[in-house]
Amino acid sequence: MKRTAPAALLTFALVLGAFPALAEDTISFGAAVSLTGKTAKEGEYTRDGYNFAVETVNAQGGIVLGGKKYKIAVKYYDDESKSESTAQLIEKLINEDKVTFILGPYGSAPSGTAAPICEKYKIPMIEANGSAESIFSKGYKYTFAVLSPAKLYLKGLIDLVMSKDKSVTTVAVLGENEPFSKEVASGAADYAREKGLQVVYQELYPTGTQDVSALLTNIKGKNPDIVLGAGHLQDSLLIVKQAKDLGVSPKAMGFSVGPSSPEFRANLKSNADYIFGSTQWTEALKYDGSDPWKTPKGYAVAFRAKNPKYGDIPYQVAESSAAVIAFCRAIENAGTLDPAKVRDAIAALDIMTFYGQIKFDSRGINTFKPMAIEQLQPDGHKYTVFPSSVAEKDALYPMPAWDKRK
Amino acid sequence: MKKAAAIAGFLALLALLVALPRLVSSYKLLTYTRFLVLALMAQGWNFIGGYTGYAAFGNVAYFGIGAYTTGLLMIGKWHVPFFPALAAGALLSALVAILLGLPILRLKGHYFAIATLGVAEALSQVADTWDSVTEGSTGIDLPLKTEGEFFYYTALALVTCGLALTWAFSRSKLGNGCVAIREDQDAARMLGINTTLFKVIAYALSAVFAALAGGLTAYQNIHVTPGDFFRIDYTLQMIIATIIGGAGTVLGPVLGAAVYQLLSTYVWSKFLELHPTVLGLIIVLFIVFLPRGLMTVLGSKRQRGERPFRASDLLANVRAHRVT
Repeated sequence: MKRTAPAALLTFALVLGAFPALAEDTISFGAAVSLTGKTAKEGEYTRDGYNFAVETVNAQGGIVLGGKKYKIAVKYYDDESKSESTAQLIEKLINEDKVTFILGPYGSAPSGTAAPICEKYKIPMIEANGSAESIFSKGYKYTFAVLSPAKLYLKGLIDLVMSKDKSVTTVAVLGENEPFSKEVASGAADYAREKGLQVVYQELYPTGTQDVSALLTNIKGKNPDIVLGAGHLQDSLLIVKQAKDLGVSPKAMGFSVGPSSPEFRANLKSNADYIFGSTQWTEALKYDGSDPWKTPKGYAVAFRAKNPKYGDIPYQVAESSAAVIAFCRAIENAGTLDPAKVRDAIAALDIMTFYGQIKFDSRGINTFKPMAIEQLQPDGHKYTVFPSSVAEKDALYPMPAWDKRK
Repeated sequence: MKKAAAIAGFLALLALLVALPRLVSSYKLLTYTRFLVLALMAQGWNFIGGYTGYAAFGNVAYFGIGAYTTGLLMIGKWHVPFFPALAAGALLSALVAILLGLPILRLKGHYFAIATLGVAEALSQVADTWDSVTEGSTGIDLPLKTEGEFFYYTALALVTCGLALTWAFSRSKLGNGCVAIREDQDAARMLGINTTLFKVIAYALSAVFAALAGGLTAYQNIHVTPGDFFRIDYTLQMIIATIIGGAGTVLGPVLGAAVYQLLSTYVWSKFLELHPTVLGLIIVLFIVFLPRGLMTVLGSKRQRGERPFRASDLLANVRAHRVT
């Protein structure tokens, strides 16, 4: 008898988890984002972005399908920043909670785990926070990303410098040994070569490094015109500090991650001047879209009114909202909730939004929206300087040598 | 009579588990598969941590070796089918465990725990930097397989074999020798037990189980990166599962894994943001009130004719572990 206790436990578990059916005039989305663990902060940005867009769309009447209005609801789970949980959560959302569509997780690894499940059930997923090639090289038909791919993160910076100065010839690229940064670094190096520049240095450093002086000493010897860094905030801070100490003075220096966050200026003070940073989106961009907020400024004002705890709006928030808008548009275009038809409508989507153009290439990633470049300027402010058609100010170039500054 | 009832109960449970894929949604099936994989890891840890009493904190190293070996053999130029690749991963893990076990199993207590932690960390770094083989931090992509039943039945078969093996182990000279080592290593040596050999075998067995779990998880996740597979969470989960169920018992690790997996699944689906806190609290309560695991409640004492487990034993447990 006593040996049957585990059986009783299992049977009990089988009964668990019966969910109430959702109301008929609601379109249910599911999302598994990281609310705890390593990327809890970014996961929260993602959720806040989704929620804000959903509230706005609902407040404006929801999605209109065949004359009937539908509200949107999102069911969330926490993936604990572990990509192997994502599979389980997406299965649960599709299988048990019976959501109609999936909004993506935060990060490339969980997005990569979610994609094959959406593929299996033929449920479309639009994600806003996973830009690694590995997600889009497998031929998935139901996964779409509104953000620019990792490979293009530093492309704009190279374009910007080359438009300012025809005489640049050499580039050095430093990257963190971590999937996303590695792709950013190799994408930047490839693009530089494609543009006829010479990549004189390309190395990876380990995650969480405390010292890059050996790498910078090497770079100093090569005297490159441009130094590019692909890592995280702490790495970018470290590289700038040690570059100053070692007197590494290229004509331009830029990072994929770091300069766009307020901590960058707070930490480096005036040493942050002239540094470039790439970003998916800033509120200073001059896009004119057809969504509820129309412009980045309009979005920022409305978002802050609802979420007063935010100062600068992280791009993760904006791209997450953009994913919701893309979904709503595609559903309206499809005129049905049929997943396969909505999938085709997403693939055919081409809209201008506050976030920039949203259009997917044949692999499902948005290669049409350029990355923006910001620069920290000596007046203590940060300006969006590229792409020039939507920029707010001209870039300052070249960066003066460290010992020539006041 | 008692034995017949136990066997009948066990067979009924097994029949239920075999029929399960027809009864539940594929999400539930995935949850049960995760439980079985955790049970497999816990069964492995039970050999070294439960029976032999060595606090191995680095078993995730073998989980990772299993994952990478299985993955790398399945892709690349060999395209080995899954099961031979899985077996190769288990074999390689056993080999590594024997080679590493010989020096580090000489250490006792905390020193052994720290050494095993170091092994796991070192292997993670190897996977991270050996770009030409492991693709470094980018990781490797396995062929896609989405049939949930396949993973479930594979895991179920492995766990069932694991149960049989643990049962045989606990009744063998090897198993009893390991228990003797746990209770008093010097005395065990005096009795003529080849302690080094016994410990290394127990350690290698635990590595084989971890590697099988790793290989299966790799095929199921289709993407293997050092960050996702060499993670201490896995080690902690297998230890927690074993302790909740009852370390050094045949059924304990499987029972503990079931409780842990189902509890954590239930908790995260009900508490969106506080679930790690709630789960942590439940684990603390388990350890405080049932330090010897659920198997004590299920009556291993009664079997030996002792008095049955009473609620007051819970408080007795707390008193016994009070720091004075």
